[in-house]
Amino acid sequence: MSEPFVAAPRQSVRASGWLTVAAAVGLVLVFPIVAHSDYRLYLGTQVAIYLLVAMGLNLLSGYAGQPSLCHGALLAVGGYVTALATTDHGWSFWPAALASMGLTAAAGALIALPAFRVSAWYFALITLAFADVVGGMLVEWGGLTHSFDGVVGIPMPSLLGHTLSAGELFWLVSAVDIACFLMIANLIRGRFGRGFVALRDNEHAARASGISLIGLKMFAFVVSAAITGLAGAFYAVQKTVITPDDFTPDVSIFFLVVVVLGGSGRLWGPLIGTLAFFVVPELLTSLQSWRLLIYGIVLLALMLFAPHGLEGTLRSGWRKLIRPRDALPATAPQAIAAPVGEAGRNGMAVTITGLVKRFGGVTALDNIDLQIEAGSVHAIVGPNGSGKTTMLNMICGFFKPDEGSIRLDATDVVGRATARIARLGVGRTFQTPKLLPELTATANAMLGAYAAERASTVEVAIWAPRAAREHASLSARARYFLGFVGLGDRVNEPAGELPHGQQRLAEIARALMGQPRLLLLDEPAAGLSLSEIDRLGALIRSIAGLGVTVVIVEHHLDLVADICRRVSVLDRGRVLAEGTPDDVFRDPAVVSAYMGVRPLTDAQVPA
Amino acid sequence: MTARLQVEAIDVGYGHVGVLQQVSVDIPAGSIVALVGSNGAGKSTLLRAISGLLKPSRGRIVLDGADIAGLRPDRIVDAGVLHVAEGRRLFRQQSVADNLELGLYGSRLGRAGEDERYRLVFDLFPILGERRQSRAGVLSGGQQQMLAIAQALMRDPRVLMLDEPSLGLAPVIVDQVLDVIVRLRAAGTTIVLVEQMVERALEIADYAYVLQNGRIAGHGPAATLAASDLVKNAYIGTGHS
Repeated sequence: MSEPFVAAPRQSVRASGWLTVAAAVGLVLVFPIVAHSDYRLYLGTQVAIYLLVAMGLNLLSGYAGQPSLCHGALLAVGGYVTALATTDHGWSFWPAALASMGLTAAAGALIALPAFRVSAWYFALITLAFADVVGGMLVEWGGLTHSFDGVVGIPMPSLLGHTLSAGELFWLVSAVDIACFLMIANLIRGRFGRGFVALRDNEHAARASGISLIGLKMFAFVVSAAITGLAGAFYAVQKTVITPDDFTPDVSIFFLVVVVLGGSGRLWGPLIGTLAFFVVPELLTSLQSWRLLIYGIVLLALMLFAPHGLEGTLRSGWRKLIRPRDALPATAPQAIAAPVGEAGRNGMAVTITGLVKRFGGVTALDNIDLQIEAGSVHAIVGPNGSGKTTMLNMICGFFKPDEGSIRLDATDVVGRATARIARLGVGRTFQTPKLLPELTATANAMLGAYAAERASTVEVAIWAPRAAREHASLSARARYFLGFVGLGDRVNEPAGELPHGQQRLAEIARALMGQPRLLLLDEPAAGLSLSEIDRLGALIRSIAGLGVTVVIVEHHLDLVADICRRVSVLDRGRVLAEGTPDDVFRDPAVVSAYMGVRPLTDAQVPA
Repeated sequence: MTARLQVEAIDVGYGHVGVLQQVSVDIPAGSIVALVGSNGAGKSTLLRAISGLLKPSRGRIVLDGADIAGLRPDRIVDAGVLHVAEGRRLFRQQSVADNLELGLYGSRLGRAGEDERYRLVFDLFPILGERRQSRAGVLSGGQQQMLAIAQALMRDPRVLMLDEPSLGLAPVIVDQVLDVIVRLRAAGTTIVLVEQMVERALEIADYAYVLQNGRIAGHGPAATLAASDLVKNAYIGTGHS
C-alpha cells in the first residue's frame, strides 16, 4: 500500500491565473483613458459595482446554495449608511464605507437566522419579505432616510485632501473587484469552497465530515452581505443621489438573474452575467422600444438552452474547440510521499446499552446492547429493514435515540451534534454514496479533513503561506488516500463521473482524511465485483492495521467472515446472535432469518 | 408475448468519451442473458443505450426486426422494453399502489388488462399486496427492489432489463429475487441481467456476455462461461492497483 502515488504539478495553472489578473489590471488601467466619454466611464463604474454585488450573491446563492432575493435591499442598506453618514453626519467616505460593510453584514446575519430552520424555498421567500421591509423603511422612516426625497449631494471620496475623479473612482471600484474576486477564488479553493458546496449539495455528507452547518451558513451570509454593503457605499458616491426608487424589488431579482444565468456557483459566472445583462441592454438602447422584448427573449432562450448558465455554455464550447478529452498532461508526474503519522492510532471502543429508537409507531431498534472492542473489525448483519443503518445513524448522531446510551470510549455522545461526534474521530460512509458530484475526487476527499484545517479565514482569503502549505499537504494526503483505496488514476475526475462502486471507495478515502479512530462503513461492498470485494477486504484489513476500529454493515458474508473478529446479527430491531463469524453463520436461527438455504462453504469460514 | 433483442455493433459515448465500442449482443426470445464485467466495463451504459437514455452514435438495436436505436425512451417502453435501473429508483413518498399505478403510465391495457397486471404482480410478490398502502420509502431494501421490478412488470414487458437487482440485499432476499427472475422467464419474458454476483447470475442465465473496457471480451452459454477463465480474466484485466 505504500507505493508512491503520482500527480501532475500544478504550476502551469498558477501561471495562467496570474496572467489573467495582469490582463484584468491592464484593462482596468486603460479603460478610463480609452473610454473617451463620461457616460461610458459612468457605465463602466456601475458595471464594476454591480459585479461586486453579483460576486457576493454568487458566493451565497451559487456556492452555498442559499437563494437570496434581498441583495438589492442589502445594497440599499450599504448605500444609505454611506450616504447618510457622509451628508448628514459629516463622516469621510472611508469610515462610512466600513460602517456600510459592518451594518450590512449585521443585516445579513439577521436574515441568516431563519435559514438554519427552513429549506431553501422558504428561505427565498423570507429574503423577499426582508427586501420588502427594507423598501418600506426607506420610505416610512423619513426622519432618518428623507423618504422619497432620498439623500442628495453625496460627496466623492477624497484621499489625503485630493477628491477622486470619475476615472479614479472606476479604478478604486475595479481594484476592489479584483481583490474580491481573488479573495473569493481563494475561499472557494480552500476548505470553505468545499464546505459551501457540501452545504448546497449534501448536508449529510457535510455533517458527517465534521462541518457545523450553522457556522458555515452564517459565514456565507456575513461575507456575502459585507461585500454587498461595500458595493452600496460605492453605489451611493457614484450616483451622488439615492432614493428609495433605486432599490425596488426588481433590483434584487435582477441580481439573482445575473448570477443564475451567468453561471451559478462558477467563479467567472458573475462577471459574464453582469456584462451580458447590464452592458448588452445598454448597447441596445438605440433600438428603444424593442429593447425589453429582445431582452426577454434572450433570457428565455438562455434558460432553455444554457442550463448551466453562460459560463457553463462558454466553457463546454471552449472545451470542444481546443481540448481533445483524452490528452494527457505533458509535464512529468512527480512523486508524493506517504503521509506521516498514520500508524499507531488508538481505536475507539463503542459501548451501546439499552438503545431504543422508534419511528412513529415502528420500533426500529428495541433495547440493543452492543459492545465493540477498540481496534476490532465488527460486522453488523441482518435482513433488510432490521435496523442496521439506523444503528450507524445513531452512533454518528444523525438520529437521537429514544432511550439508552452510546459511549465512544468513555464519552456519552447521545444528543451531541453529528459534526461534534465527527470531530471526536468518527468517520462514516453511506449506503448510497454521498459525494459532491461536481467536485473532483481529490476535493471530495479533502472535505473529510475540513474540521482538522487550521488556517484562519483571513489566511485562506489571502492564500497566506500557511493556507497554501496546508492546502498542498491536504491535497497530497487526499491523493495518497485515493491511491490507498485504489482510485489513484482518477483523482482529478469529478466524483459524479465515477462508477458507483468507486464512489464508495472515494467515500472511504474521505472518511480516512478525518483521521478517524472509529470508521462506520455502510454496505461498502454493494455493487462491487468479486475482485473489487477482495481488494476492499484487504483495504479494510490495512485500515484496521492502523489501529482504527471498523464497524461494517454488509451483506457479503464471505467478506464479513474474512475480515471480522466479531459479528452481531440484527433482526427486527433486536440482536438475534452475536459471536465469531464461524459461530454466528452456523446458528440455525441466523441461517433461517437471514442467510437462506445457501450457507457458506467451510473454506469461506475461517476456523 | 416475447421478443428477441439484438444489439448490432453499437458505439456509445458520454460527450467525447467513448464508452462502448462495436458492442453486439443477441438476446433470444424467452431467455435470460447475463452481462458481466467489472465496474466501469460498460454494462449499465449498454442498458441505458438499449432503453434510449443514451443514443448510440453507430450501430442498430433491433427488437423483433424493428430498429429501435435512437428512439425516445418512452417509445422504447411502448415497444415493450423495460429497464429497472440500479439502486431502486422509486417514488419514495408515494404508496406502493401509487408506484405500481405509475408503472402503468402510458399503457393501453384497459381496465381488465390492468387488473390482470395487478393480480400477476401481487401473485409474484405477495408482500407488496400486503403493504400496498405503505410509502415506498419505508419498505425494506428487498421490498423496494421487488417494487421496482413490479413497477416495470405493470407494463407487461417483452424484454425486462435488470441492473444489479441484488444490490444491498440480504442473501435470503437475493434468493427470492433470482427466483422471481426465473419464474418470469418461464412466463416467456426475455431478460437481460446485469449482476455483480457473477456466480449467481450465471447459475440462472442461459447465455452470457463478458464486457471489458467497453467491448465484448467473450460470450457463451452461461454454464460454459462459469467454468472458464474468461470471466475471471475480465475482472482482473481492468483492475486498479
